[in-house]
Amino acid sequence: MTFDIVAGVVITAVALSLIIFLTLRNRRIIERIHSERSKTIPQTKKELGDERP
Amino acid sequence: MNDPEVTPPKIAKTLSRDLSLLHITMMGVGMMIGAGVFLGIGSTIAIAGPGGVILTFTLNGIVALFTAMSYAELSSSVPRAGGAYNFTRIAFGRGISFVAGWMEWFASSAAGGLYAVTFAIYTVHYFSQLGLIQFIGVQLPVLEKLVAVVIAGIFLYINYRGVSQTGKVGALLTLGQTLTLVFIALAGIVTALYHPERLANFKPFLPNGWMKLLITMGFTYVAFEGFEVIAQTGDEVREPRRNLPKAMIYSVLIVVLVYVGVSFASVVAVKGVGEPAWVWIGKFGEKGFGEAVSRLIPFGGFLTTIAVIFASTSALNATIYSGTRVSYALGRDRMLPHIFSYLSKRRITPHIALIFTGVIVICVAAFLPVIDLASSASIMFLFLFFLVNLSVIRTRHRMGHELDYGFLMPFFPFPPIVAIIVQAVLAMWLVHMSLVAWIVGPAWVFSGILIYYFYSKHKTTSIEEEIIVLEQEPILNKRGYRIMLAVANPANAVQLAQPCYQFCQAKKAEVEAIHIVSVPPQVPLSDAFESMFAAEEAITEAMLYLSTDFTFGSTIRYCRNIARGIISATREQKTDLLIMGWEGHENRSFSLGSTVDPVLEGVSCNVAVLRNCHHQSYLRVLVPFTGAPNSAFTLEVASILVEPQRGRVVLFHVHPSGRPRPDIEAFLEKTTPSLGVDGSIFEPKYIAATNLLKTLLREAEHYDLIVIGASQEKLFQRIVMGRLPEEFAHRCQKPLVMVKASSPVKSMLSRWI
Repeated sequence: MTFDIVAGVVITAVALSLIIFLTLRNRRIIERIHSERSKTIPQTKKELGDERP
Repeated sequence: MNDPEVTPPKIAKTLSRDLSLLHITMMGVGMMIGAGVFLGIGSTIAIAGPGGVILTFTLNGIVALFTAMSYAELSSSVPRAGGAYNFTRIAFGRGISFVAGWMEWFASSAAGGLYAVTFAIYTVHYFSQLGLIQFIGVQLPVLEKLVAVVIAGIFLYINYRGVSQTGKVGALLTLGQTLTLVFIALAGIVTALYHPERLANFKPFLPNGWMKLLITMGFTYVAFEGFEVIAQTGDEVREPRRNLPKAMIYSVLIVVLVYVGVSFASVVAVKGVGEPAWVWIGKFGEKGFGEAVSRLIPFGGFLTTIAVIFASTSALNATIYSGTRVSYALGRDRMLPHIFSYLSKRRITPHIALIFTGVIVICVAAFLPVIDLASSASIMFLFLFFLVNLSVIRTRHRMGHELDYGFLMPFFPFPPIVAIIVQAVLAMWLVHMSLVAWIVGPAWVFSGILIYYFYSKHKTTSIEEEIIVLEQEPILNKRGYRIMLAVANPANAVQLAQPCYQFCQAKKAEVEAIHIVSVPPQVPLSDAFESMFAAEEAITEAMLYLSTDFTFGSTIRYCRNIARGIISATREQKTDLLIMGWEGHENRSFSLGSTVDPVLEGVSCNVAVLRNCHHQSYLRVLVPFTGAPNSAFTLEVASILVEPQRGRVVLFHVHPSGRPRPDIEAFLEKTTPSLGVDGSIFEPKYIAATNLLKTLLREAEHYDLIVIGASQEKLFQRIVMGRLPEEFAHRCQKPLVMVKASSPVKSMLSRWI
């Protein structure tokens, strides 16, 4: 039972963190694409890749 | 002045893109919160336990977010209204797209049935607790079904009338119901902080084991079906490539946080019931959420019932028009018999498609038990989203280098692959929840495949372009003072064009004639171009009169709501003055009418509303003077419309005896130089009287034209309190112009918001 609670809380926390992380990342991608008005997938991928450290 | 031989310029046709990111996000949230959370929490706690309900909504949130990312990527590259039907057509062609449309039709209709049942369960339960049902002598389950059928019938009729809550009103309602749920979630958190012993309600965390999560995740998946309705707004939203993907992703985040919050609140709400909290909530089944909330906060049961009424009815309305729209589209493309695309001559709504959608909604609401109904809707959405996730992979693979993406999902292709696998598992596992759903769902899909092979494949129309992308209309470059002339019909166009000529001449203005066509929500805006409306005649009348002497543009604009269409057009065209007509009909719900009132309230430019102004200029013009902010503009309008050589403009002020009167002479001295007219045409006149309206009406008898400033109060205040200018306008039979001056602060705010 304790295992269920610990695992459940950990899974919930990780899942919610993942949802928030992906939302923020997706938002950044949308803003990035629209600030540069990339036209194609290769251009967009290159730009998104360039901003990574 | 006019030369009938001159070829009139071409009339542009535009879609009114007046929905913002907030509106479409709230539309998606409203669709998702429609019923799943209210019905799902009690049943989920019964099956998966108190921890299971939290995990169910959290894990479903991840799968929903992955699917939302697929929808976001596809709708950002093909921002045309159509949703899954459109996406699968691009990825796989007509066969799969027919099946997708066929599934979407049933999924929306079944979800509509579920929302009708949700409404019925919660309202009947609430009234039975108040002791009001027992007198009727009908068993509760029978009464619930009757109420569900009646409410579905009411909304089918509303959809036939073509009346639907607008995006903005819908957004406000959804905001209200979302805030109600946020309030419940916060109450749960505060309760847990003050009474930490309530956290013991989470023991046992998963009393029936982990595998039950697969059942509850599939069963509640219908609570995550909002992005389809966002995808449907592709023709109506501003900056669709940017706003559609954002709205889909934000809506999932909002509902996941709300669902997890209210699930937590439901569990910690219960105390002292003599049995484990999850068993107690589970005993109430689909009513468990309401019972739990009624123990959490005072009037919790009432609050939940109100939230359910708003949530379920707005979602029912949206699912009915969503189902009607997709069956209409199938008929339009000849994949279903062509009668599905017939439009009612009177209401311009696809009434045949609506009847068939209504039959499905009413049948599933009346004959399927609620668990089977929720499962049937969920399984169909799982199948549909499965196809969309496949489509995003195939579209990138086949056409990714050609399409102009507004969003590209990160970690591609893992999110759609994970979503496909999980959705397949959830769909299969639903057999443990509802065998009926597993009979109804596949049977519907199989019948669709048969229809395609034996009917649609041979009948479908050839469409030259499979991908039709509607780009945003370019905003014309503004060169000087711009007047927008809103024409409603040919007769009205002729009347308005004559005074408009005077304004154009006085302001050396360019003029844009606009005719707004209201399209019911069941018909995609982009379809209005081809099939329905011959609106050119009204604009041509204005064009013949004005186009020879002034820079002239003309647009037919398709929108959901005429007032909203005019407001957004003035904003996009950077209009300085809007001229429109008013027929003067009485309407108890509005001061001046359902179009004029919101326009006066909403536009940030100058407005002149004309009634019976058939002439170019007038000899005697009356301006009721109050000294309000509109006064200078009122005077300017009067000076433009008065006969320049012999005309007189009388500024008339009625003041109660003993009260100080405004200094009209000083006002004229200050204002006249900027108008560029001879100041001798203006004449002040004061009268002391107690009944302002009667005195004004009596004075108006001696004039050819009245120019009066509109009330400055908000619409609600005008309706409730009644205002002198509007009342005067209704009772005065003379030609009349009601004006409203632009507000610089409002203009600045509207640009920023």
